[in-house]
Amino acid sequence: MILVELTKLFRRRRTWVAVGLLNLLPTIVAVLLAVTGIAPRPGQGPAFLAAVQANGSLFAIAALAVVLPLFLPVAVAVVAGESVAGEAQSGTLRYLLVRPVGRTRLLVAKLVAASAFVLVSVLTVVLVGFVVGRLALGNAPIGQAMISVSGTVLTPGQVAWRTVLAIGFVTFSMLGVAAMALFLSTVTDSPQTASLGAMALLIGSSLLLTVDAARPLQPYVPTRYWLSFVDLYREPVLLSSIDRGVGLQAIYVVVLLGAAWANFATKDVTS
Amino acid sequence: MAGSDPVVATRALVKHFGPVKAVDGIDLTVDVGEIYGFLGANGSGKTTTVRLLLGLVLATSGEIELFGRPMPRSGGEVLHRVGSLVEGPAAYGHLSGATNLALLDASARMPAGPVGSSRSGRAARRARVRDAMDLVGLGAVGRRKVSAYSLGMRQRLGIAAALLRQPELLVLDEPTNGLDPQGIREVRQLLVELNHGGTTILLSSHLLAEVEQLCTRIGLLDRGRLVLQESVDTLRAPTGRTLVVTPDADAAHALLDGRVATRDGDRLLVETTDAAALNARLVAAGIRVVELGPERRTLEEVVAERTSERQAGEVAR
Amino acid sequence: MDGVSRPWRWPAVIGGAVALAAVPVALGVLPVSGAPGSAAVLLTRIEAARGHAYEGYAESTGYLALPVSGDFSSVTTLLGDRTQLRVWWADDRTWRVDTLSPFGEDSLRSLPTGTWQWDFEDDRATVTSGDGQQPVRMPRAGDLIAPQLAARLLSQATPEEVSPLPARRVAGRPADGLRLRPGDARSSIAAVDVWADRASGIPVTVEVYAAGATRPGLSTTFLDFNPARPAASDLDFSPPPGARIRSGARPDLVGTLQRFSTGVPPPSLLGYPRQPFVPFEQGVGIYGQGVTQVALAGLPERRAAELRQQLQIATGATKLAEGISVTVGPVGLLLTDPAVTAGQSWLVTGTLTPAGLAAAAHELAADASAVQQGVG
Repeated sequence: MILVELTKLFRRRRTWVAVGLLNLLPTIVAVLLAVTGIAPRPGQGPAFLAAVQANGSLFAIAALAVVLPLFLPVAVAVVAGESVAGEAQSGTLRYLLVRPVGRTRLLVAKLVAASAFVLVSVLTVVLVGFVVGRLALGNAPIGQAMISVSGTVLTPGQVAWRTVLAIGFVTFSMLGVAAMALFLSTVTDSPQTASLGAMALLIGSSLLLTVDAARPLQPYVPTRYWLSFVDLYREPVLLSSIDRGVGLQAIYVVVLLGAAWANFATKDVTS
Repeated sequence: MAGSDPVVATRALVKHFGPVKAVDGIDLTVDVGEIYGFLGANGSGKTTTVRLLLGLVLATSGEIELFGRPMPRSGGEVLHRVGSLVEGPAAYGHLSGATNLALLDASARMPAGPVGSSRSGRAARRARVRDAMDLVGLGAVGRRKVSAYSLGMRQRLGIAAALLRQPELLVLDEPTNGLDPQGIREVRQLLVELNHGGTTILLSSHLLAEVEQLCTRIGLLDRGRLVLQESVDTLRAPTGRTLVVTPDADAAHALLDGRVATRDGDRLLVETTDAAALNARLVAAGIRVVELGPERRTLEEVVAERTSERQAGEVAR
Repeated sequence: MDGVSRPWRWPAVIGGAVALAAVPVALGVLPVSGAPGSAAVLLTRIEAARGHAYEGYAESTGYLALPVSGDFSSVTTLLGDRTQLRVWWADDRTWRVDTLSPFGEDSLRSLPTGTWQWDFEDDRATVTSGDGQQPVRMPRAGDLIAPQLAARLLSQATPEEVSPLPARRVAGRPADGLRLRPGDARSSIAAVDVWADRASGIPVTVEVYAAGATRPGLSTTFLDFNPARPAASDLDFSPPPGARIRSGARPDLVGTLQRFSTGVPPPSLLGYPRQPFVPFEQGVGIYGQGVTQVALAGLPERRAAELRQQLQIATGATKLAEGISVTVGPVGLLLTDPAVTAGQSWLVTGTLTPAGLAAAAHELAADASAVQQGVG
């Protein structure tokens, strides 16, 4: 079933258009940086953008920081919001269910497919960022050391495994949005509604993070630890927020998948 | 499996959608080998009943059994023996017809069984898909994207999907929708062949002629109630009256005084089962007979009668 | 019929969600064994633990929106915002405090070789020889980590002023608490709550309450805490290749004032003697003890005018005969009118009540007229 969902997802042109658009933004940023040579002022732009002028390879990480706050979650919300509601809208849901595909299995397969989409997106963003960075920005030797956020020197090996962890963390961070979109996707038969609902959660939680009065709520807000992947590039690595971020996303996934299950397992499929 | 179990059985099946009673106490039975015609006007609850049978919609109360197993609890075990076409076909437009079928086939495991176990490989799946496409006449366009299919081709693809695993029970909702007369004939032919091969068919339709030609038994649904469940033979059995059409209607009426049930112009309905004797008597009396034979009601008449009865009852209440 | 199972699904999911959301809360209020001991004993333990090694991840939160910017923006941010800090403390001369921002960090290390400051986003390392610590300087993030803040606020505490608080869990470790209610009526601080790690006696949470406040105006706590000596590799620093390196810290506002201000702070204010460690006579004076801390700064007129404008439009600003004052939580600000204080604008700031501020202003004005009369 999971293979079937992956086939459906990745044989769809829209999926690749989304991945392409995700890569377009960092590429534009890289080209602009290369042409103008204007790096963002410290503390202004996305993480690591200031550093890429010196070492183009770093643009792989900067590209991740560029798409993380908005583009990536929106793409995830669209794909995951499509998952059940899209099948309902096209009428294929009933044929899946009478095949029979267990409703819980279907939900899990849909979440796995959405996660696979996130992983593929993040991987391509990092790879394209790396290539674009090297072509358009600094072409420092590949073995050149990277400076950690704490001002120490990281060997290419360290950068590599930290980047692998960062990819994993960013992918996992998106699961909360995916689960939200999936849940809404079982509530409504309109994929657009489900995606917009998940985006509303996203925007709402980003907003809460900027409101001081909402501080007691902030540890529970799904976007709270998203940017903590930067902590992987501190020396020593700061796992505190990473741990909390992973735990928080896990809770969101469990609760929302549970809600999706509770709703969908007994839902009348009348589409 | 116990062969005596009906393939489909419901007891006091009720489904409410909010305040609307879509299905109101249905006791439906479909036996092995039947072609069961499920009749009813739009909105009479046909589709809801079909969805209930397949576990898509959950009953408010009542029981459903497929192959003697309770639904929807045993859906995982029995639904793979059912092929269905519910409320029109549906497929992923961006994929080809064959890919659609292959994905559908792969989406649920074949249960380990005498047949299933040997046919789960990729080659077997391809063969199954090809067979199903060939059966409905889509063999030539299997590689084309479904978004380029015509309405009729989609309908055929829907039927192919239902046939994919050689089901023991076919539940088909308006299977000839969107087909040209040639296509309708082909599908009808296909259904008859499948039925001869042992497939039980539940055919939901509002085309009386189609049901009349194909089905062995019908169930008539009116406003959520099953108002009639009878074999077609019984319904179409002679009514015990004989129809006489004669230009000498007055003379005939006088001759048969007291035995004429109704008269409509030159058409007389006579209370007798012996058509031959009646003919002899009329001819002996010099009455010209244009047409004479035992009266048989059409399905349309039966349906109209049963449905209107209910409406009358409703108004009276 | 599956309908039977319908009723329990939603309650199960909602119950699970509530349970999961409650886990952090429950861990926080998990009763900590051990009855509250003597506050006086705890106070002694805290004092004994001063300078002990530890490392951890801390968060300090200020709810004090100071109506000033410009020269003072770093303090405004510190007291009005949330600051994430990583701390490695070997001893009082060897430590590292990183102020984390979402995209970078500002790392300050005090090492035997000198003081290194590394700013990632500026890609710049600044080194100051010696211990590089000015006796008087603007507050910085490192002052807000619980052991530092507690050391400052509890420095003059007497056993009579402290009372025990229920133990709680900080960074997952049991911690014993005490409350300090200072006896000084001029102090704007009504209470200081300190929880110290039970195992080591190192303060791990400090909450500062202004008079009449129901929630702390400033709170700092460890999220991760380990009372162990940090590894040397975490403390050491050598500037990365390619980074800009600067020698000698840029003087902050305090340094500038000490160099350029003409005002001489009086030898005592509100009965507190001027603290002796200020090497320059000009510009800045520090007074007070324990929770009552007052800083006096003679501002050059241009800076004073700018600040006066900001204070005038601030909500809650009070105009006095001697100047203008604002109180935000436990922090009081007062800028004197140079017409009253012999042509010198004095900024009085510290943990003073409005009455305390007014008294200080009155005293400065009286001093000024005495000096003028003396000169005249």
